[in-house]
Amino acid sequence: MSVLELRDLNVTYRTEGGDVPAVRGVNLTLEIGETVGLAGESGCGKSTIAAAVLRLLPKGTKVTGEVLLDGEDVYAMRPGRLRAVRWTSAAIVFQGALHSLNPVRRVGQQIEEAIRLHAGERAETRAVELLERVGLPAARAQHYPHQLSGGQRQRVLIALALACEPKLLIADEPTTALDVMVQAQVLALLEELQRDRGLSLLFITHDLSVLTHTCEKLAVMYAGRIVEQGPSKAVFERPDHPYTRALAASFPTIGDPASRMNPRGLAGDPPDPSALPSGCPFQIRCDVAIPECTTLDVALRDAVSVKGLADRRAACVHVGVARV
Amino acid sequence: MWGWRVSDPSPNGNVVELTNVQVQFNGGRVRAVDTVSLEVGRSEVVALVGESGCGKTTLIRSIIGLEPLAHGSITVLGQEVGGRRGLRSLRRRVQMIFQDPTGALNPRHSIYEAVAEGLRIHKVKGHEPTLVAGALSSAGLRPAERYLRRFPHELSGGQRQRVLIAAAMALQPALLLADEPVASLDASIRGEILALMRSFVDSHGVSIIAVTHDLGLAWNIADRVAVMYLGRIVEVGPTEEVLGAPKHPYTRALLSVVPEVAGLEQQILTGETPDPSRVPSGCRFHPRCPVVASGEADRLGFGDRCRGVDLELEPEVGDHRVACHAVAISATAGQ
Ligand SMILES: Nc1ncnc2c1ncn2[C@@H]1O[C@H](COP(=O)(O)OP(=O)(O)O)[C@@H](O)[C@H]1O
Ligand SMILES: Nc1ncnc2c1ncn2[C@@H]1O[C@H](COP(=O)(O)OP(=O)(O)O)[C@@H](O)[C@H]1O
Ligand SMILES: [Mg+2]
Ligand SMILES: [Mg+2]
Repeated sequence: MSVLELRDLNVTYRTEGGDVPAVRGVNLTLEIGETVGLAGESGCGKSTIAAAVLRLLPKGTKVTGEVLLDGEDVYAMRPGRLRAVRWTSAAIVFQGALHSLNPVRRVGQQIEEAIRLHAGERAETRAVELLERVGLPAARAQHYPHQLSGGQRQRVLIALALACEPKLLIADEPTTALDVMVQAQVLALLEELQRDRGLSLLFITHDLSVLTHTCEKLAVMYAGRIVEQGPSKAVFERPDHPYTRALAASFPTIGDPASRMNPRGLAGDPPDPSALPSGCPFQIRCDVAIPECTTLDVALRDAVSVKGLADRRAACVHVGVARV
Repeated sequence: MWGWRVSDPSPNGNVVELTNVQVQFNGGRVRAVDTVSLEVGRSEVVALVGESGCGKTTLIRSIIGLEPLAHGSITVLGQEVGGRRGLRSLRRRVQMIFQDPTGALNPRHSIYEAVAEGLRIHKVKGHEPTLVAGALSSAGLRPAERYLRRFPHELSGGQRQRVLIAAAMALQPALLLADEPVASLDASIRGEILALMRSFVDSHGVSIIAVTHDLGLAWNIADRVAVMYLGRIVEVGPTEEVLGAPKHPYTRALLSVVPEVAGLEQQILTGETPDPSRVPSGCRFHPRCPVVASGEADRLGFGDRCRGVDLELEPEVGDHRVACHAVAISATAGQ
């Protein structure tokens, strides 16, 4: 059974300015021990998906479709069951949470509280064990958040998320605010946890290059939808969707003469989800758009060009049409 | 008006010269910048790279006179920074852009005001609305009329950074100090902003010091790279050489963890940049240095120098300079 399955997930925020359809028909599956990366520019709906998995969206937000954790529908759970599932089945390291630790409590205490709240036993010893597991010496338990560097606080947050031994960890931009060396340390830690504990990881970031090296599979989002998915290395190196192609090209390859003195990016901004154009939402920024794209919004479909490789999918008029 | 070019660099053609610069805090206990020498020529882009806390921001703040020097000197366009004369004109000729465009813009000022403010402060001659519109469109915000009356919250992060670049460039600076100019932006739009910055170098002869921890940025726009560690430049040289054939073990480690570099075995250094109030003796990098940790330095007989003898940049080949005992010794041995 899959650890996580999203079936036609739609999330619409209700605001004074009207409805904001932030996630539109997302299907995604995560198997036990698997690492899946969710990529895309700011505003494409990544954090919304993270919050939707554990029903942490603002009150009044409209959610349709299904979120299955270990086969159980999260949106059909009673409050008691939901509380148990949060932390023990799945935990989230939130984006920008480096400042979310309680400033007036020692980090060890904060981890102990999380353990007591859910699992109870030996909280103090286990808090120290957790800190050690994320590479912080036991003495750090006595420190307050302000005494720690950004990388150390990120480790505390990961320890906190692991407090109840969840099967699934959702990490939302866990390395975005960190230096390259510290980023490499945190990525190595996540890889180790995944390998040693069979943790399943949903890794969210706008940095495609990070995902390619950390995740087996990749899903690229644009304007609330997955527009391409497949094995991460293949998707990064031979993207099928023009959006993924532009994203991948915006990472210079150091040492490659083609990107020397040649910064490349993607012109324009993603569309406002409350005012989506008709047709393909990427058409305005797309360099291979054809007249059909203004009216036709292609759904995610198989992008098999080589026989037997059915693991690539993309949502583009140019993809998958040559199939027999 | 937009055909301007930077004139009058100092007699030797350098726009900035730093000589043995030291900046200290807390009564000298924190040596944030510890003996740095660097010169930047006209139309040159220098990337200053290194982990947080290594002194990059402090160094560029000292160039605009915001940090008093404990030692050394800085000249910009031939004038000494910190001297009485000409500070006002230097303020105009040296402009700075920051990492967080949102924090740098006043939320209650329109985009027009954001650009016009600098023109007024520096009493720039000309028709203000024309100057503002010209600056915005040169920064890629076209047509400018569409942006003039908007407010920062109505723009995307990338557009806000363009507004700040427009405001800086409207003053026709000789030198642009850019502190992590694209770090807060989506990877997809960084390239466009970097291309814009590079275009000012090529069209107006502006020089740029770009502070970053992103080596890809350096590969994209920098003529030279200076790698800083704990307040000191440990390797400097042409970008192709420093990133293509890094000599310092610290530079090599930094490159090895960049996902976009193929073929280097990952060398993750433990710990974070050490504390500038406790600079290690000897080579300041030695406690984290893989060459020392692996025992190689001792085997080859210079481990004691690494632990005991502080050192500065030495010429490797031509303009490529490195502060490393291992490199210095193998260079002498090779002669
Ligand atoms: N609480 C909210 N109310 C209204 N709109 C929201 C809310 N949170 C996010 N959004 C909007 O939903 C879209 C997706 O946001 P988010 O999931 O945070 O994207 P990402 O994490 O990919 O940057 C954006 O357009 C954002 O402005
Ligand atoms: N005003 C200050 N007072 C005391 N220490 C400071 C001050 N500004 C910077 N520092 C210290 O100087 C060192 C270098 O900081 P900074 O120049 O900001 O580094 P970077 O920009 O490379 O991250 C850091 O250890 C920082 O804590
Ligand atoms: Mg997000
Ligand atoms: Mg800084």
